[in-house]
Amino acid sequence: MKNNSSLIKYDYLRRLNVTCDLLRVALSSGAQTLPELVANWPQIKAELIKEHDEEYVQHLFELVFPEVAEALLNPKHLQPTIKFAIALKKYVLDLGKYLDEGKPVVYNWPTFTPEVWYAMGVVPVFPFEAFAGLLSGLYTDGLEAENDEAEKQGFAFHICSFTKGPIKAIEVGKLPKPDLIIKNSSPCDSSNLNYQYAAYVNKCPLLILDSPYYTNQRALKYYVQNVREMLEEGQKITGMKLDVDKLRYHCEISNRQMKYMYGLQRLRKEVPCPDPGMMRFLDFGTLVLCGHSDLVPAYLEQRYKEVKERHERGETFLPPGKKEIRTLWSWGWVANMFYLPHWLEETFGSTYMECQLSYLPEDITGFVDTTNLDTMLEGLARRSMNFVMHRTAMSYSDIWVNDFVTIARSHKVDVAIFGGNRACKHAWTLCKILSDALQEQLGIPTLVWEHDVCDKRFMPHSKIKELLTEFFTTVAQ
Amino acid sequence: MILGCDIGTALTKGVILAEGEYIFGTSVLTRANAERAFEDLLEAIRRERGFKLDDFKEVVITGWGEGRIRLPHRSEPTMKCIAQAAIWDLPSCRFALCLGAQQSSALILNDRGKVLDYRINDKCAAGAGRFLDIIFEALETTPEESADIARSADKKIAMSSQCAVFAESEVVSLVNDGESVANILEAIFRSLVSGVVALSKRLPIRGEIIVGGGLANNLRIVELLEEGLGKKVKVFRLGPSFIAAMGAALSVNGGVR
Amino acid sequence: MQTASLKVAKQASPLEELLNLPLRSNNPYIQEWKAKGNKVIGYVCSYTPEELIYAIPGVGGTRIMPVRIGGVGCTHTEEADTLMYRYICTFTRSTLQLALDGEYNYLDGVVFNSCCEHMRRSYEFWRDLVRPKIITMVSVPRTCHSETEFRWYHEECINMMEEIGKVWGLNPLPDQLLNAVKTYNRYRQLMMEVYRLRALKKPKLTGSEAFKIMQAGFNLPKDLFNEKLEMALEELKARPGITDYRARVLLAGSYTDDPSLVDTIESTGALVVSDSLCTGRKFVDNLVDESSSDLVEAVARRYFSRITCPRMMEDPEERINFVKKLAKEAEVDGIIFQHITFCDIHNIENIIESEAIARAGIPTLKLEREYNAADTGRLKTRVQAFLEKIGK
Repeated sequence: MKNNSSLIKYDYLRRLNVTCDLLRVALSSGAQTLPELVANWPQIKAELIKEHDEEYVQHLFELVFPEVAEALLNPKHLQPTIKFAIALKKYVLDLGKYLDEGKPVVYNWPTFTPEVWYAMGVVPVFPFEAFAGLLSGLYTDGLEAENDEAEKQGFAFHICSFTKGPIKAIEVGKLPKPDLIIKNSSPCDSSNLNYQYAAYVNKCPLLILDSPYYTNQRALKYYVQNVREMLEEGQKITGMKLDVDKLRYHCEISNRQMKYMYGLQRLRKEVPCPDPGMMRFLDFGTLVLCGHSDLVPAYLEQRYKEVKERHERGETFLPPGKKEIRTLWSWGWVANMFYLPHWLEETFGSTYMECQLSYLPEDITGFVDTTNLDTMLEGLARRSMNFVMHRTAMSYSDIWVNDFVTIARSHKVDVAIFGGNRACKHAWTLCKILSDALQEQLGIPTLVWEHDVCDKRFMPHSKIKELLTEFFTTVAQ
Repeated sequence: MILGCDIGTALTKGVILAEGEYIFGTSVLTRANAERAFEDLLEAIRRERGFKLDDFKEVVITGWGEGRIRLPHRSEPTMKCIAQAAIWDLPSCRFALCLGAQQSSALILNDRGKVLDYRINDKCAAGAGRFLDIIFEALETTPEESADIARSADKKIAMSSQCAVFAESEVVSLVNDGESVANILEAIFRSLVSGVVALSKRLPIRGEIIVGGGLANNLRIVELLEEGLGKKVKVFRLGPSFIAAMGAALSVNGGVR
Repeated sequence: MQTASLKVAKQASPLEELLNLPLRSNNPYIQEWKAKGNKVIGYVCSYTPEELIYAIPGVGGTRIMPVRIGGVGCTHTEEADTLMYRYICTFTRSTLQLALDGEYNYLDGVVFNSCCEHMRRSYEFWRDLVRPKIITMVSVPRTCHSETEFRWYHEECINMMEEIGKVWGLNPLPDQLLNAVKTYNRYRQLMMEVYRLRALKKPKLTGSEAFKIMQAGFNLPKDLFNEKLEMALEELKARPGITDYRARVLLAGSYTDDPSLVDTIESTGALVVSDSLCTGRKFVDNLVDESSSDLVEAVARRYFSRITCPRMMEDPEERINFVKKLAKEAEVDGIIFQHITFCDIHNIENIIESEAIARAGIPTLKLEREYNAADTGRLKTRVQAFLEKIGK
């Protein structure tokens, strides 16, 4: 690859690119434990340096959280993760080629899925939030440097690290400068102002998809209109035109993704839960790449197949003798501690029910009707309004509370953990309402604790383990 | 005999039970070294009562430093210990508070001493004992004197109760403005108790309340707590610092009842 | 509009009255207003179309008066802290606390906006715990340059009127709407006059006084306020003007209605001669088009398209230029950008605006504070250091 290629020039993209191959090759090496992986490393590296620089690859390998490597080698995670890496790699190569052709650089907030952009021939850059999650989850250096840069400039410590670090990454040349940024007006002020700052500092247009405050027909109509206007502007700004057949093609792919997502959600209700929680983060990754290529539903199909078979065989991935503690993550996954769900499963038999970064209400969202442009835009809008981190944030807290109390009942939840991102203010306002409802209506206790979703320094992993150990050895018995 | 031990960030506490009866309790400074603190505790017990490690059928350890003790022992989660000790002290207790050096916790328990739910405040320094130590030093007073001094306050000063960092610089300003130590102390105590009350009310407060943890040694804080909760509060009878250590000892044989 | 007769000190001049008006239900005018059967509706954000509330007639000649909900005088936020946790701005917690303490029991209803993350979530607690007779939401889009967005907001305004009106079967007639519009336009014009007097070389009033007048404006029926302000303006113009000030500053940033912040700044000798606050200059910017044949739409238009709060994800350039314009108008020596802890909107907006303005050569200071800040010592020190730095 030429040195001025986007996948070399921009460190975040370079790291993403190498990550895909690192995951795929390392997990395919036959190693089943961490020592075996380390023993296999020379062969793995030899494979990787066919495409990538040796020093870079070595350095990256040394940065991987050992706990993450160990967890991913576990059979319950192995095959899907390889498939995810393959799907992500195709996207990364598409992105690299797209950027190297000098095409418009577009950043798209993930709660409106990217099929429309693919249909325009645009490959949006991997969203800030996805970078923040992936980099802080896999690698020990995380985004601490960029977070600190932002804080030096005056961004408060509690401005959301999902966005705060990556927008600084643009300024220090680790990500390409945007030509266009698209944002939903939900979920929060933190992300909204981060995006405004990014658009201002990089002097590019910011298109807003206004998230309506209600969830009725009027709201849907309004939102669809927003989508149309956004597309009109987007096409003008990028000079790329939306092709309806291409849109249909990508929507059909994402419909297949949804089919498996919904299937997995249904299976999570079973006792014992057959769906390993660590994969939830990768599932989110597929939403970010919604409709990109057939490789994305292939990952979900693998996931679904394994989970379904496990359920049909009446098996569990929990260690033998571990009593299942069905756990509702009433906030969401902790990006910087990617392996946390696995640690909970192994240590306490705590299985991952749902969280607001995982849950897509199947019966309300359904599938995109691919008949024509109107039906597709409406379908995508409807999905977006009920999307993870959108449905629960854009309107009254009643929605989040009701969703989760209902899930707690239907999924036979034992306990709840509200590990809240300190930046997520609107979530904190309903923490008490939700945990009260769970206790009063279902006798479910909640462990309330704070973390910074993409910065492990605020609540170190050792402390998180302490807090969770206390909880699971106390109320969860 | 059973030794229950709570290795906290400030103090390491030990309680000895014989045939389920309380015999003795003592504490030593932890000084950031759990192993050494535990040794110091055993030494203090030996010096004061002549008991040696071998005399104990079981050693149960809880608290921050538990994981660092290499000597074989039983471990017990702190919340459970607090609940066990609370119900031992007062069978009608259904709500317990522990105000420690770095963390405040509130828990609800059932009539068998089982923890039903709990909330902690460990991220806000302004609610913890460590913060008070710094303030006492700045005001050149001691924990022991501070309760009486605070009671003599003649003016209510509003504190920026939100942040320890702001609060510290506020104290300096107030002193420079000639504000009395009594008024400042009272304001700090009120601010601290306000945080504990807010924490407590995140759970349903039913039945009797027991409070433990080092901060509860300060009777002014306890008074303000009662005022804030609108209910009487019982300070753990062995001395509030010993609540978790006692609970640890009680946990042997399945605990109380 | 009837002139209220006051039981309190009759010898107080209109200016003195406005500068010393008690808060909330201690306000004798509000007491009298309610005693006569009139109603009071509270609102939380400047995107509430007040005149549409004021236009709604009552029976027996009664009216509905909008008041802006504030948190001045709140000394603790314990219950609010319990409910909302600590990552919520103290303004939101203070207003909720006051409501839980019964301080807003005199309200007949409340209008919320989806203004910011903190305030919008206060709605659920007001609805379920404070339980005002009427509570309604005027949701506001996050952009304001598209007709689609405007239509939504316009519909929300109509809905607000209906929600309030339907409880008591009340609806405004066209001339009532026009009267309300005219009253509010007059209010804005008079307030602009206050800004003009603040910006003089020898300002006729301090920033603190201006804030008190602003507060009075939020808490009196506008007709009455206009009357008093007109007279107060004459009193102000008659003053010789302030000459012994150290520096002229503009105050920008988070919601501010607590005069104590301005007091702290002015205790250094500086004078707050202008502001770009949503309670201040942005509140009174832009008039409603009285000639419009659809006054409800005209009102909505004014609120929607005036100078934006940074919650509107529009190009910050317009807001930066607004501040520059005000700074030039009032010939300020520096700008203080304050934000309430946890106010993400102004934390980041202040970075954007202050960096741009510093590039334009105007000295800036960024301050973080609590609402109803008690740590005045720390704030005063920061302001003093700033003034010394800019050679004042």
